[in-house]
Amino acid sequence: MMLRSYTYREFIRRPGRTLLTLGGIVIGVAGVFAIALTVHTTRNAYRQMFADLAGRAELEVVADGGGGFDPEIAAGLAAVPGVRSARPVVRMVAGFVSGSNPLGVMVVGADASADDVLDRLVSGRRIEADDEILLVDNFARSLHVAEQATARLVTPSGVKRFRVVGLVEPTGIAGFNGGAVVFVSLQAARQLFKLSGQVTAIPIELVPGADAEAVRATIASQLPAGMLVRSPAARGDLAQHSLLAAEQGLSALSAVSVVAGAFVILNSFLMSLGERRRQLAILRAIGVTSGQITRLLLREALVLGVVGMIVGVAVGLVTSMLLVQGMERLLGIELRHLELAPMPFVEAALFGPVMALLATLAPSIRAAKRPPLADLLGLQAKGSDSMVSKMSRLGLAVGIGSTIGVTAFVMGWIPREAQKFLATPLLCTFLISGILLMPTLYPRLARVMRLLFGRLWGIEGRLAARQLERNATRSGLTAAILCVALVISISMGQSIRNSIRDIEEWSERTFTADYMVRGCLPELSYSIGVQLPESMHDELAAIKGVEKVHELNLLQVKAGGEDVVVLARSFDDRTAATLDIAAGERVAVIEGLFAGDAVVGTALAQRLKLHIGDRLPLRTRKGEQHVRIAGEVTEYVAGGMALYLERKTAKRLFDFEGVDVYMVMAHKESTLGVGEAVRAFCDSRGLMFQSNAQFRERIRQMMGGIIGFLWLLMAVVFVVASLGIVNTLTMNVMEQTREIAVLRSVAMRRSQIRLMVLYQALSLSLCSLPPGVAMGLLLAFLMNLSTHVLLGQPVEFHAEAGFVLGCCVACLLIGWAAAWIPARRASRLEIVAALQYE
Amino acid sequence: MTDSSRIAVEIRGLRKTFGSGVTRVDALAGMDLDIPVGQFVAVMGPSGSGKSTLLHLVAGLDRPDAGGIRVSGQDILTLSDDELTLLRRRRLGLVFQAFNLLDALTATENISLPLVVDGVPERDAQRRAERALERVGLVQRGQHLPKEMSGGEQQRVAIARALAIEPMLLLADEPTGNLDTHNGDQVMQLLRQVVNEGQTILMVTHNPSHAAVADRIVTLRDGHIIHDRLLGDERARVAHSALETPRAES
Ligand SMILES: Nc1ncnc2c1ncn2[C@@H]1O[C@H](COP(=O)(O)OP(=O)(O)OP(=O)(O)O)[C@@H](O)[C@H]1O
Ligand SMILES: [Mg+2]
Repeated sequence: MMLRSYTYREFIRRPGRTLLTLGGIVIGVAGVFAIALTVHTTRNAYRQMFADLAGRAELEVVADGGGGFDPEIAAGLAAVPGVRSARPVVRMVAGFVSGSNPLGVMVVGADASADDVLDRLVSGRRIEADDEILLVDNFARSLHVAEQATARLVTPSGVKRFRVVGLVEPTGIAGFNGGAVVFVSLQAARQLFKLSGQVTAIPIELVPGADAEAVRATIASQLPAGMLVRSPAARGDLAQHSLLAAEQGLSALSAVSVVAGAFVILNSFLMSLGERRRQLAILRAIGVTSGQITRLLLREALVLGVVGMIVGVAVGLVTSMLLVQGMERLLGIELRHLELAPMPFVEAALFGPVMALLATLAPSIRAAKRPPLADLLGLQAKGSDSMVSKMSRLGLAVGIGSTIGVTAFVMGWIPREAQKFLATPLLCTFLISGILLMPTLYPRLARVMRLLFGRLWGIEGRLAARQLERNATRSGLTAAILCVALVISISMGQSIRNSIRDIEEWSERTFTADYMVRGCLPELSYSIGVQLPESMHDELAAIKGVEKVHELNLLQVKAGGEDVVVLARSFDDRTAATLDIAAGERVAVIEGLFAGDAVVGTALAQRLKLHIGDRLPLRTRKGEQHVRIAGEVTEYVAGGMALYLERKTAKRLFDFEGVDVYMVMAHKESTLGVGEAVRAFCDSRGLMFQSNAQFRERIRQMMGGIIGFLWLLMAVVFVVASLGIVNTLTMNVMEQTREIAVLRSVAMRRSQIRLMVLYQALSLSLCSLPPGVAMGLLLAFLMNLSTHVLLGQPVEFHAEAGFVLGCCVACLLIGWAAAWIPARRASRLEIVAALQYE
Repeated sequence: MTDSSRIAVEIRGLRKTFGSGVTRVDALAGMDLDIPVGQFVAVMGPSGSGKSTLLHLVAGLDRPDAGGIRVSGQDILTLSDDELTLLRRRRLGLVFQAFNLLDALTATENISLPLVVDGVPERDAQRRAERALERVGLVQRGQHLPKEMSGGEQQRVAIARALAIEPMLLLADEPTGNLDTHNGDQVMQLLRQVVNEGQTILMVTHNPSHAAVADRIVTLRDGHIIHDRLLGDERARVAHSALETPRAES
């Protein structure tokens, strides 16, 4: 009906305002959608990776902490009701030598006749000898490895040569991590991984329709100590700790995008209501009820909400592609394609319209209830003061509430389960309170700015200031947009930069070895690690100029019911000195390590409420074993859910074979030549060589994804802010049309008019600086504290003057740039026409 | 007793004050006025004498401090905001000095808007709008936006909007104030014509020759009626019903 076409025409008549409102919705929807999609994709990728590994098996039996075991229990398992097959296999990770760096691949050794994977040969034939392998089709092609070619694998028994005799489809187990799977005979696998007669897993296929839970319980009751039965996909959950930090960051980001988006909607909507006051009053005067006006306005919001949702989903899809790429770089695994799960779509579908409606509900009702007479006569609205005071009262209340909340959070008064869900809302309310207070704050700031700069600016500046003060609420809201842009850039920027700096410092302290030798590139969750032969120690130590060679193994184990990573490492005085001790006397901690104690990461200590001297239960294949806690360290591996053990202690407890990383220390005087020698050693065997500098560069690269993300975020918030400025100034220019015409006709040049408008932008930006910087730093500080609570990791807080200053300059420049369009418009005014402007 | 079917507007002791202390202004200082159905009343008086205030109060756009207003017998001061809105929508036509058309809508749409809002089927509303346009002599301008029309044309569209609802009372505040002599005269002719067709009008004007088109001229000063006289034929007509139509004198 007609009011509807009225709505539509209002959009067309005010394209800038409509676009700005849409922009707000798009930012909110895209943020929420992209992040939900990314988190979902990442989580699923991990689950899927391990589900692939098990092929059709719904359960698998493995040894606690990995490693080999006797396959004879398989016969008993096959007899359990509901089990169709239980065939022992060897599944271990090896390095596939290719190009400059070996790649981590899953080596699967199975009884050739039994494994259905071999039915999916694309070309070639089955394995007949122990020096033959099958590769996955797409993987082999991407590395340009042809059939009949020779391939080298880095394994605990050294670097071995194989002949590729066939290629298989990348489905089922062969789909693991993008096809990084090598099939060998069971016998060959045992030799490679020094598993005399043992296997590492028994995948269990169930009879169709069997109750997996019941079968699992039966099997669990039959298994000897140190063995466990689990759902293969559950293994992906181990990776979740490593993801927690990234997910927390992302959810904070989605919160920020929601607040920024909602605020932009509110702002542009309030402005458009202000402009349309007279039009709405006419409607009221001729008999449209306030209920109808409310519905009319809400319908406008709803239409924009729906359109914004559609655009937001599109923008969100593109954003999440970028995000997923960043996560891939950060995590070091292949995430494949985006996981287009229905939930994020549903969320976005609800979110766009709901956000638009919520942000516009209160102002719509208010606008509809306004007595029409004053607006009809164009009298000064008296309502805005009461709105500002209401906003500031609400802002104060929200501010106090969120401060109390944040304090409770930082002090650890909030139960752990609730923390994860509270961090983001707290961040939101904090931002909202600041925005609500801005219109009250603005006139005071504006006065200070006028005192400071009034003389400098001359008549143009004074006129600019007057126009801004005439619409204090509008100006305040615009300054608030800039303020939010600043708060977001400063707080996010500072906390990200602090975390990165902390990680870099930690890596510098922790990885002091001059060179590292690995079987493949490391991956963040430590699910894929290549074991090198133990005998390599002596070979490395024999290289001229090498002072010392240390070993490091990363093991996934269960400690006190939590999934943790054990860093099993050879210690001496020099490596012990690199521990970033958070609790305990250094000497006592080191003595404890040598005596068989553990040193736990702060996150783990916090999670399990461990103190020095406590005994930590570890699940091992010999049953539960207790180790004493000698101290706590700051640690980033697995998000701090990690513990250090002296290598001998770890070997005694977990009985593993091979080495994940060799750390080579050179004699002080001969470093350069040694590097060349170690590199040559690695090259000849297809191993991965990393100098200390290269290693740090790799960490920096991983962080690069996050930094890129920070820039993206800042770009978005500043673009939004600049739209807000264009909006406000255009409106000011329109209001001033007659005044500008008079000024032009009696005195002023075009450039002076332009300057007058530009000064408005400058004044708005200047006013947003003090509260923006203050709130941004405060928020960065709070986020820093909350990282500690959430992740158990203290991150040192630095306020970087350079970065903050950069944000301020960006804010001023963007304000100035955004003002060019309205400024031009003002200066090009047709004087005669404008003089008649009503 | 008054005969409500004969009296369109009945005003008793109407008082409206703005501001307080030194800035206190008695815009209306206790006014009595009756307007019989079918009469064309022009309100004159110096600037600030309370003319617009009177109109706004009768239109229910503002509330008086004291006194009563009955519009066709109904006490409008007891009405809620929504009821007042309905009253304006169905029974009062408003015409302003500044036209006050919705910029985004065409002439026809502006006119049919109150009808559509009231639930009249769009087709009917459209037809009634076209008829109203015809009455004001602007049939060919139906699809034009306000900014594409002259001031006189815009004001005639505004009058058409007021007339389309077939109001029992048309309220006009300086409808010719923004128009040149020619356009102003045209609008007055139009108003005279609708009165001849039975419409009641309460109009504020500064222009004596426009006031002379009305049946009766009420002159205000400082919120009081200082002069109230009938013109031409109307004098004779009212003489017959003088007994049953109490009229303000001062
Ligand atoms: N909203 C208001 N606030 C304060 N004073 C008002 C308001 N509206 C009207 N007044 C005052 O009430 C008095 C009457 O005003 P009103 O608008 O009725 O005069 P008017 O007769 O219509 O004048 P004009 O011919 O100039 O339109 C004036 O003194 C005016 O200043
Ligand atoms: Mg007036």
